[in-house]
Amino acid sequence: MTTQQHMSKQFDIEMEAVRSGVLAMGGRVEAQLVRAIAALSEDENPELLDTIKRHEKEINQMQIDIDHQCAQIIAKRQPAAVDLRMVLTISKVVNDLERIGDEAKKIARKAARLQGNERLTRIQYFDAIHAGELAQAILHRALNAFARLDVDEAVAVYDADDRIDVAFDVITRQLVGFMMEDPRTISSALEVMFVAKSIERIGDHAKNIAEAIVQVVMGKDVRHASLEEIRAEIAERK
Amino acid sequence: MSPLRNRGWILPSLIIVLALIVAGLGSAWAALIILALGFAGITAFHLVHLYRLQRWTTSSQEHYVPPPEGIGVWGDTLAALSRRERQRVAFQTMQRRTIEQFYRMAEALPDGVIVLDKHCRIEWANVRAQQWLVLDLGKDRGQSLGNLVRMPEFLRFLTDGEDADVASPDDEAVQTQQQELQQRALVIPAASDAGKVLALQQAPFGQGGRLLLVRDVTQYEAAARLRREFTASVSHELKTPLTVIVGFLETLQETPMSSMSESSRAHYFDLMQTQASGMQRLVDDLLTLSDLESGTRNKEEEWFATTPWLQSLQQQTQALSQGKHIVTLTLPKEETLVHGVHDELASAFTNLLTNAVRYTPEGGKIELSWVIDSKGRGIFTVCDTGIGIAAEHLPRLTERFYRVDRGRSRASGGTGLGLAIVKHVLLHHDGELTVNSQIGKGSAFSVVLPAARVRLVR
Repeated sequence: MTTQQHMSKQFDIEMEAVRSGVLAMGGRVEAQLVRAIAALSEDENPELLDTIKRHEKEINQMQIDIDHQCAQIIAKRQPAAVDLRMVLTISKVVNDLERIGDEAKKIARKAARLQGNERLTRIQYFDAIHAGELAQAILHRALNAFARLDVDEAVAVYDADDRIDVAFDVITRQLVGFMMEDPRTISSALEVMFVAKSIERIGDHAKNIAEAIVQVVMGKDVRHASLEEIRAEIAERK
Repeated sequence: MSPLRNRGWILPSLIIVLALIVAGLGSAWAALIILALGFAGITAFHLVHLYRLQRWTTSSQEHYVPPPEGIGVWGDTLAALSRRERQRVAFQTMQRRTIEQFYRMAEALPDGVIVLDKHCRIEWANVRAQQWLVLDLGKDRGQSLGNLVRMPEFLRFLTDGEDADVASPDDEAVQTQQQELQQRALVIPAASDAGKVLALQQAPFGQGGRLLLVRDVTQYEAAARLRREFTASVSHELKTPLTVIVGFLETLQETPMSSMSESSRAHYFDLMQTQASGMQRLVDDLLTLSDLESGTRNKEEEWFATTPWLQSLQQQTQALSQGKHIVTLTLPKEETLVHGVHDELASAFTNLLTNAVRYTPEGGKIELSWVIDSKGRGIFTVCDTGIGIAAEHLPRLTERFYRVDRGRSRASGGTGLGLAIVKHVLLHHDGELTVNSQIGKGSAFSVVLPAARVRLVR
């Protein structure tokens, strides 16, 4: 009995360390996204792209480390039920975070090319910047939900992701308008298009994180369920 | 306690003595019966009290409930218990009040306070800290703070604090290192609302824990930004004329004397002179401003007569306009006195007059007037028929280096500080500046001095 207690306590400590690691990585990715959106909305900063690339490497290393820790926990502790779900979820969340980091880097790269563009000015792609800020907020909420294992907050992320999808459609239509008006804007409009697509993908990854949280808390795979079904399920639990 | 012990034995010993006497009288049975009855009585007596005491102990709570009363040895014991219980309750109440007081104190602080345990988990936070960092103590107690405030620089800040805690506090180097850590503040944006800036500081607290102090430094950061901007504009303002002077100096150096006509050389020197005196004016104005702002003015306020002073101001204006404008002065019938620092008021009024001359085309009119209104306030007005100022510029006129038309202002020798000086002088004299202006028609700048600073001489 005592050895088992000892084991489970040790397990808790290890799990907590991994969870904190995931959230620290999340913090890095958040900072990375803030930088990327700043690259889009502010004037040229030649060092920004280098900074983003440097942090990208660190984020990748964190992903590898956390995955390694997860594998070790599974091998050494052989967790079951909730604990196993948690370890698997962490692996998934880390994967999504790394992808968000990649998208942030892509945004920054496109932003550098858009700097000082006279054909397509910042006012014309203001909606993309705004969508980027939405993506920042939704990632923040998803990570908060993960820290608190808060299902309600996780479900709220779903709603927010829908708004980003709508914003993406609006931006696409706007850009098509600019391109038809003046074909010289086409190359820059395509850059903005890629930025918008990256932002939309970030929304999707944040939603994946939210789904993983619902799954770990409720023990039910909700990946392809509708929002109403999930809500009903949560209400039932309460 | 000795009487207690003694009294407890009185009754049993009496019974035994009585039984012995009866036995001595020859009736052994009677003695036995006395003994049995006697001890049964004593046992019953004790059991009843014990039962009452037990009921009281199990029901006894936070508030003081007197224990049951008793007779003999029980009376004393229960009285002692009662005393002890009363003390306990009083002590507990005091303790609870102290704790409540402490929490209220932490809530009343203008800063945020967070108590962390040795694993950086949240133990407690006041409402302000919860608001600023968007925490919910109900949900987040025991949660690692780094999980919620995930900024990489904040995590590093927490880890730095951890390293200092581990080292032994006896080491002097470690102590200074710890002090440095406590003084070093991390500045981060607040999660609660955009634009708010927080400074965090940490100090060791309790057993291996930490106290995190969160201050709202939005204002301070804004002031720091303003200072940086001011330095930048001053440098810029000084650099422009300097570039011109250096340019001419180079030309003069590189062109041989013979190939330059006397008149163009004179012209160059003239231009350099203009730029240099512009710089001089700027430096003078800056010194005046910093003098006004320093707050340690050692200038005496005094009562002085306005008529001769305003007349000299009128002459000064006429001299400045070199006959290009008509300058009039309207004064009240009675002589008036004004209380204030003569030099400062003179500098403020002169700035208004120079502006009028500067921005009024040739042939225009500049009217000065000094009026005492019905409330006894003194109103000095400079009214011109100049170019006027568009309404959107009015609120920002007294900002340093704010100019409606940059080129024009500099061409006419303005420093961009004149109205800032006026504003500061009036701040010291409880006065206010009002501006009425219409594009193309002219402007009227009025200085209103409060009644307490103005006196009529009859």
